Amino acid sequence: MNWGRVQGFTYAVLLGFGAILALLWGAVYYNISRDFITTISTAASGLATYAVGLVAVHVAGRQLSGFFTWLHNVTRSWKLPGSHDVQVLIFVVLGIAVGYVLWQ
Amino acid sequence: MRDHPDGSRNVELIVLGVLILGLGAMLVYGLSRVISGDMTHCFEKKNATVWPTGVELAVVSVIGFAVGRLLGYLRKSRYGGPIVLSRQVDPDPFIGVGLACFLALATVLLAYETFAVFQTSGNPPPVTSYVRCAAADNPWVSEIAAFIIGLLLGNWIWYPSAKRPWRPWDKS
Repeated sequence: MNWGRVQGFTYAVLLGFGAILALLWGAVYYNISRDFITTISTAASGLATYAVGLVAVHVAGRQLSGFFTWLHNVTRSWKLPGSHDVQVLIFVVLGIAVGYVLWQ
Repeated sequence: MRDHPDGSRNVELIVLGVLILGLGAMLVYGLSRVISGDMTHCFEKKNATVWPTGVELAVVSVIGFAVGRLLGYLRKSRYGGPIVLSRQVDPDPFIGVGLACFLALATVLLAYETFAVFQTSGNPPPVTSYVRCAAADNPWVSEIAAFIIGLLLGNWIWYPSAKRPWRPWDKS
């Protein structure tokens, strides 16, 4: 069994779960506050905290072996199109665009 | 993957150490400026982060990221295959602890950022406000820091999967 791929799939599922929770929270909070900037900023930061925190917990759990394979397999388990290089480029461009909008 | 010759490994460690020390020195400089300043007004300094400094910071970061990738090609051409920790390799415990500390610190900072952006009063100021102030206070130091961080990230998470940039489909 390819444990790197299993870990990648697990991480992808956990991230998806976190994204759904962030979306639900955002919908509820925006309905109450009507403050889009605070809602999107908090939801994005919260999801990023969760995503990095999962990796931190994993590494702190001394399961370092396969760590980089694990990250690489996140994209493979989602079956994203294109090579790893293209995916990195797309995420960098998306990150800059989202960051630019949020910082205005 | 071939072993790193001792001399080359030492050179890499020295370069990495100098870069991290440089970042540490800039962090100390920034903290000293924070102590003497008022961070609650950083959010108002929009001109410092949009044009021209904001765009310069973004461009410098992307250039650093790309240089990190090119540096990866240089390292790969010397050492061969990808630097991947396989299950057969016992990772250096020092690296493991360092990585865990780095990720824990990143998580704490992100948690602080989430809490800060949730406060509509702007107090405590989010991390982004500190970056705005740093960019307004000393653009040159901020751009050097952005370049170094981009370089380290580009070399770490965008390490080349092929030997030749013009043939990215090549297997290592």
